[in-house]
Amino acid sequence: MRLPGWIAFWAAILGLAWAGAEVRVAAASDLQYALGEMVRAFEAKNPGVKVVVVYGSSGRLYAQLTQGLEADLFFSADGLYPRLLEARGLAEPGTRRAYAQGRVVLWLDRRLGLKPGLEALKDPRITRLAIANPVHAPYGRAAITLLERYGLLRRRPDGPLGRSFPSLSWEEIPWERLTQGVEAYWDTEPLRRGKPQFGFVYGENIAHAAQMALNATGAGLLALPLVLQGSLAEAGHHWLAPPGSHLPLEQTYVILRGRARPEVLAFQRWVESPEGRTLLRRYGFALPGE
Amino acid sequence: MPEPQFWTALRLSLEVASLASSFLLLLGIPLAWSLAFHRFPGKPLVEAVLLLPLVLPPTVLGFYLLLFLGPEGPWQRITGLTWAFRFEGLVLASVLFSLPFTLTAYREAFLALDPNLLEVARTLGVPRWRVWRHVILPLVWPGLLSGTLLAFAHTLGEFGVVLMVGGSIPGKTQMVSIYLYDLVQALRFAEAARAAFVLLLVSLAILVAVRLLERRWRAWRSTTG
Amino acid sequence: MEVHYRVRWPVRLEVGFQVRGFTVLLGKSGVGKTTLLRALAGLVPGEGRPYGGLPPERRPVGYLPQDLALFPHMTAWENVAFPLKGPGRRAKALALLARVGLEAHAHKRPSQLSGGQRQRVALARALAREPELLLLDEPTSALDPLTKGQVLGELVGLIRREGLPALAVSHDPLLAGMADWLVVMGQGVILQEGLPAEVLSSPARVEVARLLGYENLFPAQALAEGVEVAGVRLRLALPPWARPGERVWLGVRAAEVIVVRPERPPPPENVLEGVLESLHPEGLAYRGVFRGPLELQILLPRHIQERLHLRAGQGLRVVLKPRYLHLMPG
Repeated sequence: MRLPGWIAFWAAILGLAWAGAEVRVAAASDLQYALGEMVRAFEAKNPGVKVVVVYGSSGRLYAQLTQGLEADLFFSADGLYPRLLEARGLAEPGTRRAYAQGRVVLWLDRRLGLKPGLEALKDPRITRLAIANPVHAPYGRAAITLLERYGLLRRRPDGPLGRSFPSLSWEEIPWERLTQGVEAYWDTEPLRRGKPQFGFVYGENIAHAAQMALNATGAGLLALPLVLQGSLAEAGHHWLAPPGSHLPLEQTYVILRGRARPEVLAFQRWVESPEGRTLLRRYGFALPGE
Repeated sequence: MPEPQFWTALRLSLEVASLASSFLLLLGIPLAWSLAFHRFPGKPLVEAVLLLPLVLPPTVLGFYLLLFLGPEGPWQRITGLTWAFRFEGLVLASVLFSLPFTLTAYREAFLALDPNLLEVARTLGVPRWRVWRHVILPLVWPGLLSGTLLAFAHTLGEFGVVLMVGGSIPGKTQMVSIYLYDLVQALRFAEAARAAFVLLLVSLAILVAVRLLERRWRAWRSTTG
Repeated sequence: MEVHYRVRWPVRLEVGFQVRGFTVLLGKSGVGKTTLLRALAGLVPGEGRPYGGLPPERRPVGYLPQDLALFPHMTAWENVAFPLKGPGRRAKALALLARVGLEAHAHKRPSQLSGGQRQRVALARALAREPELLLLDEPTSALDPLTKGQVLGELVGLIRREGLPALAVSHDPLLAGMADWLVVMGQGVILQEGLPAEVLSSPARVEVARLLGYENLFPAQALAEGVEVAGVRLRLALPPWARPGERVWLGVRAAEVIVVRPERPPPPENVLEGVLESLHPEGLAYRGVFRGPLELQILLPRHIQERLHLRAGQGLRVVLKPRYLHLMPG
């Protein structure tokens, strides 16, 4: 009889599939190189566990998670969205933890021949600056506060946010309402001076901002992990913003409610392990508290 | 009522969509006509190339359009203009990416014409423009209209291409679809819902207006003369 | 008017013939009649005269295609006014419609008109262009078979009254009978032309005879005083071109095979004896098959059958009168 043989064969295949554990991760785009490497290293050590990662902007992933996106772990580019998940009861209590500090860089196309530094932004050839959209992207907010700190943007007391806007702290700015573009709220005169034109272009997420800087604007305020790798590293050079010079990007992860399975916890422990931290640092993240 | 920024974005979208549809009419009619009736060497290749935007995902198409329009792209080299992140670039991108839909609709409309009518019109010694005005356009305009409307709606709702080419600059290149998306990203769901509702109403009003116009035109055609 | 045309595509043809008054060009489908007409109108590439080398817009012809191609979105008068310009368009169009007897239907759409009325609208539209020559493609095809004869008669009458030369192509021998001049076309060539009575009664070739509705055609051998067909000798005067011993074709129309009435003495020559194999009514006449030394189609007018009461299976004598026997080169 051949039939039992076939049944045994398929049962074996299915059994393997069932036996293989899967960890599903939703992660901010600035993690795309670092997390890829971490996953490879983790899978090598934990045969039978497969890690699947979806990248996107933290805001989009948050919105999708609240609508039932299947994921076990959420690595946000800031602390806000994991907090919101927790507040909505969608996170496993007590699992929210900062895993890194995001760092902003000014990336410049090497062909411009400019010395890396914010002074370069005053060059008349810099007519467009790519940033992530500060309305929803943490890196965009960090970029704006960085420019503000160095006096390249000045808050307008006559803008749509009213007279009290200049006195707000970075955390108090109602970022999600800044839909009229940076120029409506900040005076860009220091960046505009002596140029035929100047304006921001807004990426849907930090990776999109990086792509625009690479392909079109020649300059962008980006995430350090992105400019250390691949074509951005080849085509340009960067200046790293000092710690504390912008709105902190307290990158935080959280396990989603009811998902603290052994393999998920294993992956979480690996991220926290010395090896995991070394990897994160190698890819351009500062560790919490550094 | 949605916030003022919504109306700015909506107006921008309507402007881009109207301009793109107008250019598509101007460009699409002769192009679709020659695809429908003329033989020329390499025609299958031309047809395939014109349909290519259908194959590419909008963000990918937008990426290549950005390279095309960017500071060192071919468009800059040919015309001296940098249209990336500009209104003009959005219009050009919308034209290119709606071209396949529009051309297909126009060509079908032309192919539905009875060729005998055109031949007889020629033998009647009438100048070409009168044949177009009195025979071709009156018979094909519903097809042209629906093709153009398709392009208009398509442009109004397009996201991927304009995201890549436009750079989401409020008041300049942030079209209503992107504005809505940004609201959702910023977790302002109530505002997003209001804006989406108004957008739906506006689109519905446009579509109904066109249908009414079409019906009135038909009624008028069948009672006069 | 002389027509000489050469066309290579879509059908290869090279023809020369006269157009005199209402001329009918008769030919089977596929021989290139429509192509010739379209070449004359300038719609397919062709060389020759008249109008060779001119674009369709500049050829003074009124072309009526087979489906007439009236503009469906225009009323009758708007169709007619289409080639006209200037302030008097409407009045001129209405006058033209009156000329074809359709003034009462000026505000109807083509879809609201009968086949014959549509044909006259198309004619009026073609006349509006003030052509030198009318071109009609299969004018019988759009017509109701019951009224075809009458409607065609009216159309031909109208065209004659306009005094315009017209070339109508058709495969319908009915139209041939109405022509002032008849041209018969074979594959890409002209087979014969002449006055209709002449061509109909004496087709020059067997292909022409077939087209013109000669039901009985036999290969034969010319003799000194007649022909021999399948062993039967028939007397007739040989035409000048025929030499005794030559192979020829003999043609006789079914309507011209005469049944010999039994009570009368038989005529002296060309009498054949046989059996009436079948007999069926066809319109108001009767069509039958006579089997004797030759097999012949016969067509009896009603008044003959009412007198003779012929039935299938009975014996029958028929006579082939020499004046109705037509010889063609073999």
